[in-house]
Amino acid sequence: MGKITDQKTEADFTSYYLQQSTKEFAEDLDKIRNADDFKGDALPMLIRSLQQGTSMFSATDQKRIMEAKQTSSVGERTDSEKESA
Amino acid sequence: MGKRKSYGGDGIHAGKKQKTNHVHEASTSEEVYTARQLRHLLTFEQDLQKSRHGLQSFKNVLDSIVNNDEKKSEHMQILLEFLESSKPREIEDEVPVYLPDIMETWSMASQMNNENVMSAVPVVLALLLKVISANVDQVSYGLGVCRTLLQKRQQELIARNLSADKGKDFVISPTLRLLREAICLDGGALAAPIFRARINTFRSLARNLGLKYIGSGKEDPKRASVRTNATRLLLSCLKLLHNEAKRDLLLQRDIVAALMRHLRDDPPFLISEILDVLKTSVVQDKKLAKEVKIKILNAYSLTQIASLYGYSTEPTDSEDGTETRQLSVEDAAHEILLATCTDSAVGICRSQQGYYPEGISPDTFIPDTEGADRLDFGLDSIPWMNKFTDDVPVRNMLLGEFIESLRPWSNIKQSELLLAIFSASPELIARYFIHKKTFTFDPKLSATWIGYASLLYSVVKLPIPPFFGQSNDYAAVPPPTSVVLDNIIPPPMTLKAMNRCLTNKSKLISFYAIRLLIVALEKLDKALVMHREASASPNSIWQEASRRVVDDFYRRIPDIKDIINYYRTLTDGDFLQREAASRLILLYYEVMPQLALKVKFDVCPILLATIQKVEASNGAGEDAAISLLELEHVCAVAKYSPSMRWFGRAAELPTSPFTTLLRLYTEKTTGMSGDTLSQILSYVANEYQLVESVLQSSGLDPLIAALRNTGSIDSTIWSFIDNCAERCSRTPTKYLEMIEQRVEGVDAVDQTGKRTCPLLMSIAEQLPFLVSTSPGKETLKQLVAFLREYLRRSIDFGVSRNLLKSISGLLVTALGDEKLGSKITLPERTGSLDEDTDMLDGEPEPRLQSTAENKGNSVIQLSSQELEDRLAVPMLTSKENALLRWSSKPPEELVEEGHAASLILLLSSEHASIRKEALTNVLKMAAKIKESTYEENEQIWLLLMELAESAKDLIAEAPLPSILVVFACRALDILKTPLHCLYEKVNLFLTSGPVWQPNNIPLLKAILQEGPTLDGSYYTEISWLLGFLVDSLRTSQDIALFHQRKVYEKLFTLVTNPYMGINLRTQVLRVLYRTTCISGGSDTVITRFGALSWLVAQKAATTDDMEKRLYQAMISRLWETCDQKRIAIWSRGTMGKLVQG
Repeated sequence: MGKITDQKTEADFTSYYLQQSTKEFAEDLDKIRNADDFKGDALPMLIRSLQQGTSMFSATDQKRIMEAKQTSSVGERTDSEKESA
Repeated sequence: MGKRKSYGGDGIHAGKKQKTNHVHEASTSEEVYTARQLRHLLTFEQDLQKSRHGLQSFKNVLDSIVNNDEKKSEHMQILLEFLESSKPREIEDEVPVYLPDIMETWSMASQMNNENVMSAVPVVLALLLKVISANVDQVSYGLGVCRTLLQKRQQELIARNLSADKGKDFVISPTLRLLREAICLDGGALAAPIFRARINTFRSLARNLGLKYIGSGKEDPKRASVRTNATRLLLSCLKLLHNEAKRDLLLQRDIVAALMRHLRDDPPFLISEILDVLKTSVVQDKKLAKEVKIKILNAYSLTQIASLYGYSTEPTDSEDGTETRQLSVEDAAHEILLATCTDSAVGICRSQQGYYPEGISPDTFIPDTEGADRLDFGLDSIPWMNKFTDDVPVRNMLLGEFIESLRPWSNIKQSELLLAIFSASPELIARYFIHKKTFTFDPKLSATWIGYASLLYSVVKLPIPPFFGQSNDYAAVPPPTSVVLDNIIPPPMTLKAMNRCLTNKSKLISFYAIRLLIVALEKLDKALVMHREASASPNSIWQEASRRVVDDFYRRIPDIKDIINYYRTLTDGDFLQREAASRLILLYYEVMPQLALKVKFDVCPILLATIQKVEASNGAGEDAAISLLELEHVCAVAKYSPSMRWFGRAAELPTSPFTTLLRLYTEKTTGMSGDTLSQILSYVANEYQLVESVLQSSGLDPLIAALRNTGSIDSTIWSFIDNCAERCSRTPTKYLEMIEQRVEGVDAVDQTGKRTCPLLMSIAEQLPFLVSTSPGKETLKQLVAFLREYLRRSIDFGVSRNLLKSISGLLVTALGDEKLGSKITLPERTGSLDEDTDMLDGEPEPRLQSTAENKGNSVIQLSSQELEDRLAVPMLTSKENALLRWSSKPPEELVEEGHAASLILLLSSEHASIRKEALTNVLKMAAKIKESTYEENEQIWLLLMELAESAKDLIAEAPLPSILVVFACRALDILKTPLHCLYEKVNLFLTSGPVWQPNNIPLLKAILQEGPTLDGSYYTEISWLLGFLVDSLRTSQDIALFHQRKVYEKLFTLVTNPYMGINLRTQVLRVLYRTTCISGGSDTVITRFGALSWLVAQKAATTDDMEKRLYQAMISRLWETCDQKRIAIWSRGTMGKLVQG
């Protein structure tokens, strides 16, 4: 059980990290996508390279960050529920 | 294998004979109905056209069986009958020839150069063997045919066919198929003889392996090219040949090269077959020696296999639907390369020594322990230490060459392979980058650069091999510095490239560079830890190497200033970048503090800005959490930074960084922050002596808990706390002294509380000033609530209750409001107070001084009071204000008048802060005495310094053991009188080592066993020792030490000396008496040293009445102070009887 949650936290954190990276580096990523050598494995390679950074965060830190997300998303959810209603 | 279409039509429609020699001319045939007809058809004919007709008819029969058509059973019957009837008769001494007519026809065709028949014969024979293979009963016949083929004449025919012109694939291919069938028959029964006849059977094999499919479109597996057939023959051999023969086969260099040469052009089905056989029959064949495997899996082959990465994966031919979905070519290649290159058990990867280059043996270098020569040259005395900057010899040369052909930056699988190879053979890492000159890391926003960055990140992330690559333990000599560095910060990460990355206008490039530096520093840290582990002594060669690694590393990375500048350019939205940059700055401080601290860097503004940012984020969401991490990093940097003004107020914020952080921690980030912030706060609070921490629990905890519990409080109160903290940090000693006075004022011996809290004291001191500014009512209410909570938490934490009571009294007075004051007044529960605190403390304190206890149990001769008068020795105590008073005294007075001794005694104070202060003062005093003209200044200085050195680590957690403190005081007395009989012994002791062991009793052995230094002074020395021992007995820890060192045993024996006077004997009793005053002391001496029996014996032995009474009183004292129940059980009641008489 613990292992599964750990894996989930890791996956969630990776997804957050990628999202945040694309936000912070949107301009640069566009430039790379238009580079001449952007072919073959370039896209998975780019994603992999961005993702590598998650290894700098310890499991505890990843968990903390994901838990912070949950606390904030509770508020967001109620907002969006209101909107959809 | 699928059916191969015949060259000569299908027979059913071929009704008429066509007499022509043209190769494409279809052959005639006829329907076969009986075995007899078949025999007739195959009878040797001079007319080859007729023979071809017969062969074609036979082929139709065999095809029908192989293809499983409607006439199969009928044809099978015919075939079986034919085989039965054509079996050669066994004639002695004659080698049987199977199917002699067909062999004759083949020979004739060969002579006549009739290629149609030369092709038709092996076609038919291959099919026949194929049918026989599937029919167990006929295998012996098949073997017979094969043996016939191995006869010289047939071998030559085969050879002739195989070496036909390049274009004659209709002759070559069937022959190859025939050989393959022959090899596979009966599980490879004849594989070895066929291979042995390779001069003929493998004729032109290398050439044939090169005859690849040249038609348009894809090669049809059913119409296989010569190369395909030749390859399959070779693969069958690899599968079926036994070890020796396989070895010989792999040694055929031309064949192996020909097999691999066209790999990339081969159709997917063939590649799969090749890779599969390589995997199962070569790589995974554990019996096959590595040297042989390397013959086929050489650098060239590996490169050829690696060229399959990116092999276009068009949909596989699935016309007949038999093709199942296998591993893609790329996956299969990847799998076999991984197995080959990384598995030392089966592959070609050889064991290596990690960061130690091939050819050096680091253990043969024996450090010269005596010679000063080596110390002079250190690492430079090792000839190879600086040799490997331009190239690194490796054991896995082959792999080293191979990996250079990979393109790991553009292909994920190749990158995985390279990293796997690096993991398995770390020796290759340094060499790879040295050789890969084209790999430049100059920043450019392209896919290739990203690939480079990704590869470098992964390489740096690779763990350092255990013991740097040695098998069981660290070698005598560290690996070459350049190799270690190349692994931590690979050569492409040049200073120039990294600096250009940092200043690049692309944020992504800078970010990647920062991340790379982070992992590199983390790896450096690990490497340094390993160097420390390996290093036996502080001056060892490993230490030198570790310093060199740090220095060289520092030269390769950007200056911390550049990182700080980069960090300053980041905007608030760059969460990941800010976090990474702050993490990197922290790593500079953590891993290379000596170098990082050289740079002047005021972290304060950054810290304040970060705090404000986290405050603004309202403490929720991932971004806020990342910012909090950033804050933690910056705080940790501040912790390292000597210029950090924790209590200084900046214009931007109402309170100092410390208080602001405290507020942030207690109000905003609850639940989100880890331990880091509280650790830093506690660290600062401790460092500035705001609080006193014990072991794991921080002295700041009560304040934090109180703040959290009180909820939000007014900014006036925060400013007040800030003010108090700032004052306390400036003059902690002042508050410590105030506490001392308070505690003494309340109770001379404070037994219940061990901890103090200067911050609380400063709050009490400052409160009147706050009240005088007449704050609002609400503020006061909050303040009272906070103070109440703080006091309560402090009790829980173990701060002296008496002190707290005294402080709460001060607070109440300052408030001047009874109603409010009543809330913080600690309950007056005299009598139950101690109980209460005991409960809170969790453990009852040992009663140190029970001398005044009146048991009212008068003994036979001597009352307990009399006994006390005779034997009790007062405890050594420190003079008032010992911490401060000494500084105004001249050196002579310090020693002569006991100021020094008083100060030394404070080292065993119960309060850690007092002990710390005392230590600092001891050091100051030592310096003062040394500089003075005092005669004995050198020895006194030495004594104090040794004491300080011994106390340094011990006082952090507990009071300094009495034995050391008392010894220092007593030794002072001796040092000031050079004529003292122990002057020499004390000096010898001082010069014997810089640190005193807390579990040793100084001079005990020297006095008891070595005899006196001056003649006739033996008893004087003993007397001194006994006095010293009595003073040293103050706590149960001291009893434990005496027990461990068997002091009692020695003393009891001492008394048996008939020349020992009454005074000395009484001194021994004084030691015993002091022991009984300490909790558990009596039990120890009774159960461990037989003190009761000893006393009884002494009493019986002495003739002096007075002494008898003394012993008796002592017996009673022991019995009264011990745990009688336990002793009764332990002794089965004998002790009680002994006492009574």
